[in-house]
Amino acid sequence: MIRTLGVLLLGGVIAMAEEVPLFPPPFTLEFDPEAIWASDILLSESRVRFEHQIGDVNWDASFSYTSFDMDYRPFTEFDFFGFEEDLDEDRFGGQANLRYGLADQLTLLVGGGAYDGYPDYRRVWIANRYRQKYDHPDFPTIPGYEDPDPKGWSAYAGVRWEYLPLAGFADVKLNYAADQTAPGYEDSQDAAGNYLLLRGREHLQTKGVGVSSENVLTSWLRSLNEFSVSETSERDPRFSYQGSVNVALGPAWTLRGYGGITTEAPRFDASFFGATLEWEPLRDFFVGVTGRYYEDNGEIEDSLLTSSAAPPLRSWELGGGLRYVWQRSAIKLYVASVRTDYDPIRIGTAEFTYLYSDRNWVLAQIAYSWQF
Amino acid sequence: MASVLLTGCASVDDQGQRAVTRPNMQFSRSAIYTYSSKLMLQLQPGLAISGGAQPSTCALCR
Repeated sequence: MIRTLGVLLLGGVIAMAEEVPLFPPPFTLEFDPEAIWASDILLSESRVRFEHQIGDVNWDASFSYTSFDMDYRPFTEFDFFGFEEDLDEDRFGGQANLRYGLADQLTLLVGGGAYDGYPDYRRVWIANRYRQKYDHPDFPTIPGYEDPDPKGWSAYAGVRWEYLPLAGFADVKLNYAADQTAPGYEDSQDAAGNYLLLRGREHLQTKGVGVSSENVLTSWLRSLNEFSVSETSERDPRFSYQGSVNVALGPAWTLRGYGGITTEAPRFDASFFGATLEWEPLRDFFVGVTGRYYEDNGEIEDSLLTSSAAPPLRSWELGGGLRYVWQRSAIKLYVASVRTDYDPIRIGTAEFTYLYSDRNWVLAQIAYSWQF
Repeated sequence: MASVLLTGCASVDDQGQRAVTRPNMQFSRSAIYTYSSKLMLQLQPGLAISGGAQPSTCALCR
């Protein structure tokens, strides 16, 4: 009898330990591919991330692969020798982060990363326009043109202060990034009136500082306020703010909302907001709907004749997702419809008419996590 | 504003902590509990970005 009772108790303890481990497993492995596509563009980004908690040290490292597939189309009214092309480019990146507990309420934050490839699809399109114009296969290469080789690295250091146990956190981070860009070009003349191909700045440095504060305001409300300022070579400082709130509407309902602004002199302003409503109809099974809105007043032009600057943009997103947590594994699926709506192209940006076409996109995300 | 940010936090009991410590109530770095998209940064250049500095995307445009 006593032996049977002991076995049952031991079995119960083991079963409970399997469901709710006393200590979280020290290792986490995640894989989160996502893709977004329109009728003429397919973009994807996949990341593998490994995280390890050992004592006061938490570190993670990730590797990412990004692909850009596009049907390039010249605007032949302005681009007489341009031709259609299938563009396939990619980018490889890596990032590592370390958190080390300096004291009970103070954590050191350091990290860095590097990438090799184009930062976004617009730069792939723009670089191809310049390649066709100044290194056309049927004409001699224009002196001054060079094949782009975009890449870069970044690093940050900061501290996290838990000024109220489990309820108030403040982060301060200093950031630095060095980028070798795919530069822009402009047709010009030298002092003697001869043709001169002007090449934009290729090497850029960005310095910034970010401050954030996370607070448990009530038993059902958690907030995060993030403010950052950064300065890139030959540009005015860029200021960004984002506020987020997570609201426990009930035992099975959660609302996550956010909103923010970005501004940079002389005249770039962006604003955005969104929310996700999540419901847990069964234990560890979640269903959610998300809506987001974004708008800006266009990138800043400082070129002489032509520019690749984007016109003002508005964008909407509406999506739905599922998440299921099973013991030490979790999986997430999310699908959304995204609309990008640009203002009419200005004459100086006419070469990039098809780049800045309005598009309907589909966004799909998958994430899998395993703790062990 | 600053007082709310730094000292306006409620004293939260254990029952209350269970709600605000639910995984989907956290601001997590985990991909499972991330509610944004890495690719949307390409479409929307003014999104505020947490973490390290991002690659610049413009040359002649700023």
